[in-house]
Amino acid sequence: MRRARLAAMAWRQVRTSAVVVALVLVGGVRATVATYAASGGARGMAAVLPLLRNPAVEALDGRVTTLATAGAYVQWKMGAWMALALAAWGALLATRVTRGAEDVGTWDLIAVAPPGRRRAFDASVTALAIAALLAGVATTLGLVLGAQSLADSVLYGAGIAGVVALGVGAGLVAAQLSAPRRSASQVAMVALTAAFLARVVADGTRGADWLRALTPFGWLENLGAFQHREPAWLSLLVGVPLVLTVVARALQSRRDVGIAPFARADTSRAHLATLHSVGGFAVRQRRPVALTWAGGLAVLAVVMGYLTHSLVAFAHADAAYVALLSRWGIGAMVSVPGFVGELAVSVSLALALFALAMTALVGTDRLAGRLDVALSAASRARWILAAFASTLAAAVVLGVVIGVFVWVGVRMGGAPLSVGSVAAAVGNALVVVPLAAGFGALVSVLAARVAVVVGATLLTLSYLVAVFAPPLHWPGWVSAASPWRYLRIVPPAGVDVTSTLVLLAVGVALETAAVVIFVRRDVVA
Amino acid sequence: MTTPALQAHGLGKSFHGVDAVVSLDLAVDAGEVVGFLGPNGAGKSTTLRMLLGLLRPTTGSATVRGHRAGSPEARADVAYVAGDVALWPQLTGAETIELLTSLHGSCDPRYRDELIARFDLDPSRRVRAYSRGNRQKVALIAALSTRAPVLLLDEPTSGLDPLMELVFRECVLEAGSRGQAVLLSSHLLAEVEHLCQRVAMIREGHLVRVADVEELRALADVEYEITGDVGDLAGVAGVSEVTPLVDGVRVRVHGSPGPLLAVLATRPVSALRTREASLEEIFLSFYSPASTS
Repeated sequence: MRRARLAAMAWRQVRTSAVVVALVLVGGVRATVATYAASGGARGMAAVLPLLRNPAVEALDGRVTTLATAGAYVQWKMGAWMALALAAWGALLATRVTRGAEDVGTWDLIAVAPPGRRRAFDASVTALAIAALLAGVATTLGLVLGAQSLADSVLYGAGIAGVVALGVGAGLVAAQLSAPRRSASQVAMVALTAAFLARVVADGTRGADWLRALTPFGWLENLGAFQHREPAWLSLLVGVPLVLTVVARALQSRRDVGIAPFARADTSRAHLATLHSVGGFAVRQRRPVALTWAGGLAVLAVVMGYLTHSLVAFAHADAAYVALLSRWGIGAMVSVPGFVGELAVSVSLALALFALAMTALVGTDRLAGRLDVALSAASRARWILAAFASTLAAAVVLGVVIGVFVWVGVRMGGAPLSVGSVAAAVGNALVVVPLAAGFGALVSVLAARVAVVVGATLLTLSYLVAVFAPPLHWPGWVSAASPWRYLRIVPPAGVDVTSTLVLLAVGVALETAAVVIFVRRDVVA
Repeated sequence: MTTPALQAHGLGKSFHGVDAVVSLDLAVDAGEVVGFLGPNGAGKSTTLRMLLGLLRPTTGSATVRGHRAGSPEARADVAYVAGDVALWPQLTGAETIELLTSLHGSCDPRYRDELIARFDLDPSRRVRAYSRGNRQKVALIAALSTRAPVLLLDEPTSGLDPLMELVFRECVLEAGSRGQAVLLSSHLLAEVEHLCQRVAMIREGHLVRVADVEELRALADVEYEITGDVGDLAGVAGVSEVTPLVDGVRVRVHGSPGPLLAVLATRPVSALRTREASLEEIFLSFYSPASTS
């Protein structure tokens, strides 16, 4: 009975996130299958296969052997970045329910209850395993709904569940070694990034195939769903998470609750410069997150910039591919400035998610009770406006970082690109940021508990709608609600001034609504 | 007539149709330390949060030195300490104090440094590494060093050790003597008894009494321990309870002791000891199930 209650408690902590991810996976996989058909199916893909086998593309998007079925296309599409995102999600979920619970003290209550720490840990692991399994089932379901082979769909779904479980395992071990939760999450992310880079090197370097066997992202590729089928690799995708879980369990039973062997220093010299105003503190709160994002986006930008020249050259050489890109609505990618413009529009989703998360901090602080003392002295309007302004400033800095590193990458790759083109592309991408920031502020004021999950889901879905609408010939009203529908590819196109002004006005209106509600509502934790 | 430092008039708050505070009238003058007592869930924190402008009153109004609670002028005059203070875990103690005093807009740096020493706080530690008591010290130091004219303290000593509680008492008495108004919500009745001239008692959202501590005592029963063979005192006017002792009796008297003393004058009494009710006993008499039914 007690075990069942523990399990129910643990599941409650992960269920919203698990269900949202599962729904996005079902919809995303099914839509990807539809995109495959809309792109000409096997015949259309055969035309671009040589391009996708370019080492640079394989390094980025994963090894591709065949695209003869929609299932193979999905597994290639999801094998790289989506797998990394899912593993990261698993790791963050694991550090939240373990180290996060220790940070806020709830683990103390669980640890002293009769079932004990080990059973509480086991209950958390069970909930996390169900979340991983759900992601796998959702992937399988999306494929089956797209009329793909059941056996291959199950194999690939199991692989995705394994990758999530691996992220969970990494998170569980990191949570035992490091504190607070943010540090533990960073440790897990570093491990997963290293594993992803090993896959990048393995796929992008001839003669380094052996490296694929050393990384979970390589194991997922080696599974060969919809290709050569090697289910034996599943044993690693299941076994390694199990080993990591056993290690984490042993570590947690041998250490004191709330303590970690590699905890951050608890003392620090005071840095007071940014603490003299609401605006200064808003900047300070967002600075560490912005720096982390800047690092990740800089790496991505320089790599993509470096690959631009060869990708564009390949595309140019193949008329069929040019036609395919046009059908997908991204025909602009056949020139270097156009590719950068397209890249900037893609990166704008990341900038929008960053803006959402940063303005939602107001809701997080309110729920934690941290605003009680602050808002007994400071103006509420100033507080939420400072959050908005500092988020916009941080997003602009991220935009500049992306622009600089894309430009550096493109020039390193030997292609010409003017600073003006990069500036126009980045400026165009930043147009969605005020809208996302205003949206984040409004959602966090109305429903702080679910602001990030709901907001990020809606933003991602609206981006995907804009991506999938042209190739799938969805009716105009479906994509009309997506802000990305109104972003042109700049360059080569010029900025659509009217749309830009409307998007900015909507952003300001959302923020204004958030300010009005925040000023009038009760401040309650 | 001077404007009260803190005034609530017909103040009420409902949450989803449930009354948390009902038509509360209260005034605290400059230099006055007023205790705010009541059991858990009585409405103390809700009242304080309305006085801070964090909650919007459903009825009535509240002012701080004549300014509407929550207005910029009122916020500039109030410093607040919450019972279980939540702070940003990545900041150090020194950074948190700097932030909170900067948000308030005033700080006496010399007094702040003095308070850090008196409360024995290591300000270089990050908030996440502090115990609950140390987090409470950070909030207290930040609030007191603003020297705000009005201090709203919601169970401010929860988590403090007895030594630090004494330091807190000294600081509140100093604040009162400097002319600062203090409204102190606390479950530590000895603390309230020691610090407060007046006490406001709230029950189920209703303010049931505002009185001087001495006035409350006068309302409460007084206990007498009488040594000697004094016979039966049960029938004496005002005597509510008689407990036999080895060498005498203990009687509880409500109201004037005159009738009891008149009877004792005729009996062989060898010793008489008086004990006034503590605030705790008064509190219990107000909130015991018998008095609430």
